[in-house]
Amino acid sequence: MSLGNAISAALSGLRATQTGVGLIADNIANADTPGYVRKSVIQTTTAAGSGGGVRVVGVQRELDIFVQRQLRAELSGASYADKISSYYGRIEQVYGRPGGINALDTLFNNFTNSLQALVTSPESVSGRTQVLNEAAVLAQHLNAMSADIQALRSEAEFAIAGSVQRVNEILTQIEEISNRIIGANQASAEIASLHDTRDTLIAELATLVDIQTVDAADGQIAIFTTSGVSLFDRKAARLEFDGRDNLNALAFWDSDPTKRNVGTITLTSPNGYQVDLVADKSLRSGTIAAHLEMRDKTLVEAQAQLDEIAHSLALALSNRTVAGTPVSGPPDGFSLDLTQLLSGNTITLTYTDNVAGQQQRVTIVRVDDAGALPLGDNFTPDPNDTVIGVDFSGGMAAVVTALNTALSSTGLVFSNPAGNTLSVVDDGVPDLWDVDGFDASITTSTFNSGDPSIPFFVDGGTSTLYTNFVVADGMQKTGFAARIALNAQLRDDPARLVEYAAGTPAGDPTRPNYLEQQLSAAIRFFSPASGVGTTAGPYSGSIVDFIRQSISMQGANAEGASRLKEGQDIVLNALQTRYNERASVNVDTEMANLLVLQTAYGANARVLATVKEMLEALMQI
Amino acid sequence: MTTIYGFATRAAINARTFTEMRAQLDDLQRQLATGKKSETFTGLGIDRGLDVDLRMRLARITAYETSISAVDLRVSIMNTSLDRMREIGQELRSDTRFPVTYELVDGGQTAAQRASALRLDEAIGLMNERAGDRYLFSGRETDGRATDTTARILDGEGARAGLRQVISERLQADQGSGPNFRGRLLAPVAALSVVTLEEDGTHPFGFKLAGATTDFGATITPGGPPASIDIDLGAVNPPEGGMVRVTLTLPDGTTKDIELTATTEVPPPAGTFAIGATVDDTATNLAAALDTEIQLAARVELAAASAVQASEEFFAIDAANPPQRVVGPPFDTATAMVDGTTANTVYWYTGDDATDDPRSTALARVDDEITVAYGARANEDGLRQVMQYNALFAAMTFSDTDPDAKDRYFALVGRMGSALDQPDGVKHIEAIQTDIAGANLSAGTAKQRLDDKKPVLQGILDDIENAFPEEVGAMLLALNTRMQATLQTTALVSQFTLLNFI
Repeated sequence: MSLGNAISAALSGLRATQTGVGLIADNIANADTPGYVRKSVIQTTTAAGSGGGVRVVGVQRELDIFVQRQLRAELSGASYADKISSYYGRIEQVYGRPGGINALDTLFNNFTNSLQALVTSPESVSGRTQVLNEAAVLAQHLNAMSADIQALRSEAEFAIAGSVQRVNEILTQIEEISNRIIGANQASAEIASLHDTRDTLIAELATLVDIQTVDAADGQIAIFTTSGVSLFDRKAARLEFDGRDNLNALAFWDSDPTKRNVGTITLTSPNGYQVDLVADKSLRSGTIAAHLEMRDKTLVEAQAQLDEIAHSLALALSNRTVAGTPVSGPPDGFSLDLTQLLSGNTITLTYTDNVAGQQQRVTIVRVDDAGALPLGDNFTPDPNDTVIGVDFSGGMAAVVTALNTALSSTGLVFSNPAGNTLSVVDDGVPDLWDVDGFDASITTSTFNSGDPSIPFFVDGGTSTLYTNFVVADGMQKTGFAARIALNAQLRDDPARLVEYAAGTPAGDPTRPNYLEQQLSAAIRFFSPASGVGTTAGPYSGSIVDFIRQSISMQGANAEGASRLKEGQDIVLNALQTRYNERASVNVDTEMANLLVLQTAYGANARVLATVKEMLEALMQI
Repeated sequence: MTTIYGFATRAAINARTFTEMRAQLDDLQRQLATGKKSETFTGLGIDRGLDVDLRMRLARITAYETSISAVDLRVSIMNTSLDRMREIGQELRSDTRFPVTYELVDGGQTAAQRASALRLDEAIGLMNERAGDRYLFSGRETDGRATDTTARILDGEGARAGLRQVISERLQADQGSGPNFRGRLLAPVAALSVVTLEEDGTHPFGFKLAGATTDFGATITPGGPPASIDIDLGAVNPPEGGMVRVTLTLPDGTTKDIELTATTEVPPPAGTFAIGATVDDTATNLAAALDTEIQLAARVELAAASAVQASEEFFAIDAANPPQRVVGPPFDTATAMVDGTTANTVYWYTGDDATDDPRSTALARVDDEITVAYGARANEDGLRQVMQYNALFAAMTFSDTDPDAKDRYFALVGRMGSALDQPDGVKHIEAIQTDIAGANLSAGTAKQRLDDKKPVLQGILDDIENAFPEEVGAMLLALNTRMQATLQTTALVSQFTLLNFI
């Protein structure tokens, strides 16, 4: 070793410490820069033979890639939970403040109570007006709630469009950055900061879509959704979203593009391969999945819940049960006059299979559009019935044929003795079958029919009777909450609230009493499509019970979502803390390092000075 | 060992803690200001279902209470009316009890009759009593008067007949053609030993021959139709004092016995018939005596009974029973009655005339399972009787020049008295009152129960929804301490940086 070596070693030391100080300055300056990962110098001893000293090999990013990977996964979960929770909070606002004047239960209570007051004073003009006003407010509120729910869906649609666009931007940027990273010296400071930028972009991508990444040695990275669809592999895939404006209650996602009225997300891979991410359910977490879940499931269910309330409200007041007239035989049975049976109205047939000793219930639904057939058993919420949709547009003969075909496995025989009368009889003498009941539930269309039922609410969009008819396009029930309206004919003549037959006295409480009972006491089944109850065990209770159950469920959902969000936040924060421990800049550490470097720099300088002195001493000889 | 984070990490955690505590503080302040724990159902936790349920029940209780107070008001007004109706009935009844005085004041009516006219006015007023806009005695037709006016009830209007016209027509039909009114019987005829009594046709008017007896063995043979009675005195004269009794049924269902005894006095006094030389002569005498008695009864008892029956046909109406009118004119030879119509007869009762239970015409739900029925109709028995007999009494006139007037007056008063004593008379009003009081009692009990229940439910609801200032205050204080401590330690930790020491 010579003095010259010492000088070069000291010089290399000075250079290395300068680089170190520069890096510390950089670290401290970026202490608050989001995504900035603390850098440290990688240095190595130069071989003693070639002059000795220290050499700065490169810059190292101080991060724990395992924690980073976990963090990315949790980012998706957290942003998903966050969005879901905020949506639930807003759905709940649609239902109103507890006890608030606009809460759904308050409005419903006001309506039933006004009817109750009308029972006490049927002749009261102000009492009748009050009932109509409360009913109108309730109907309008259901319309408004429905509009709010659909506005939330439209919002989700917009948000998906925005998110998809952002995903594309991020993927493009990742592609650009990756192109610069590949093949470059991975240890250079510039590349390290490019890695920082790319990691920040990937983290943002993780909040939108649930992803997993695969790192390659040359700084390359591949990004997949957790379901395995490739988003980026050297080249970026492209997402497209054909969003729609102003969704309504009739707009649903469907795998058939001609039936689909909302947007879907199509991924085009760099080699042109296309896949529908919504159809494949490829997005499981992250903001986009949250928006999709809201748009296609939760909000649809909330709408179904409102529709169920509107549906029950309308039918409870408008439908009357007409019992079949016994036909004595043998064969025994019943007959029913179906002149007033409207499309959507039902006939309930109960019969007993005497051999098996089992009673069966069949619901026959009048349908006027053959395209709607066959109907599933879930047309009615009743879990124990078999639903038979019958096309009435072809006349009674066709109805009889259809029913005899549908129930050919039984000994029951349908016939059309006259006019619009449908009769059903058992097998007579062998007595293997018995007809136990044959009743129709018919929507009353007039006001003085002699029956206390009344078409109180109508389908406002078309001002038609609400019977829940079914056509090939769907059921009248779908989106009914958005259209339910007080019958204008009732508004024109409030006396119809009392006059159930020609000449009914003004003080007759029969009709108000019936209506009030239908709302607060009559028990009915509710469709499980509303999210309350299940197909096998549908919710049964009065309308007021169902409303209570709905509100309770919305509250529980919102609370659950908020709990989930809190849980996710805690996990995310813990991970973030762990990640930050390594990756974020600790000024204390940096200062301590600075002190070390300062000392090292002084030491190196001293070596130089000493060598200089030694050289001078040599010169003076 | 607790991990001690560096300041940067610490600051990030603290920033979040601060936001959370700030949010908590805001929420506590809101609770203090609004007094409510939460603005959403989510915030109510698992009690949210119970909360909605309690609100519904409280809202219903309020509605029930409104109903109960409406029922209470109506029932008390009805009760006042019914009390007075009962008194009016009792007053009329006591006017029909002895001592009855017959002294006409000008206009041909007694003081008692004048009082009846006033009582009728009052009764009509009571029956048209209202609670708010609601007529209380109209059944279901609560928006219209229960009865027509007193003037129209008595005198009719235009082509529509009132009570007086109905009475007069019925009287003509019952008495038959003049000048000798025989109550639609033919004049008794004697042929040999047989005296024949015969109605003048088949119709519901006048005397109906119910039967005849003698105490000396005459042969009685009923015949017809038209109904007739042959009294065959036989081969020998009846003995002195031998009695013949003919029983006549009057239009109101009462009977009149005509008793004649055989006498040898000359001239025979009233109530007797002379025993003649032969049985055939005696039969002729008996026929003449019967004719006199029949004519007297037609002027007195028959006239009174006819008026009572006419008032019954005018007043006892409902949907199934319209007022009955005599077919005519001419009325004195009428043979049938016909249903009156609103075009030709005043319907005194103008409320709901269905025939179902009057109580069921007004309902009120006063609790989840309790419905009280407290309706009433002015045409219910009892109420109707009070108006009917007062109207009848007020409608009749008598004359000082009519020698039978006093007897007729007493015949009328006696009939009214016994009708009012019937179970469906004035006493029936008490039954109505008992029903209504029962309904009111149910409502009152329900109210008591609701009053007891309401604060309990409200208390539970308050526990769920309300934020109590003391509790919120304590929480605010604790939060305040925590925030201060966190802020201070953060400030302290921030000083612990090497920067400050080099």
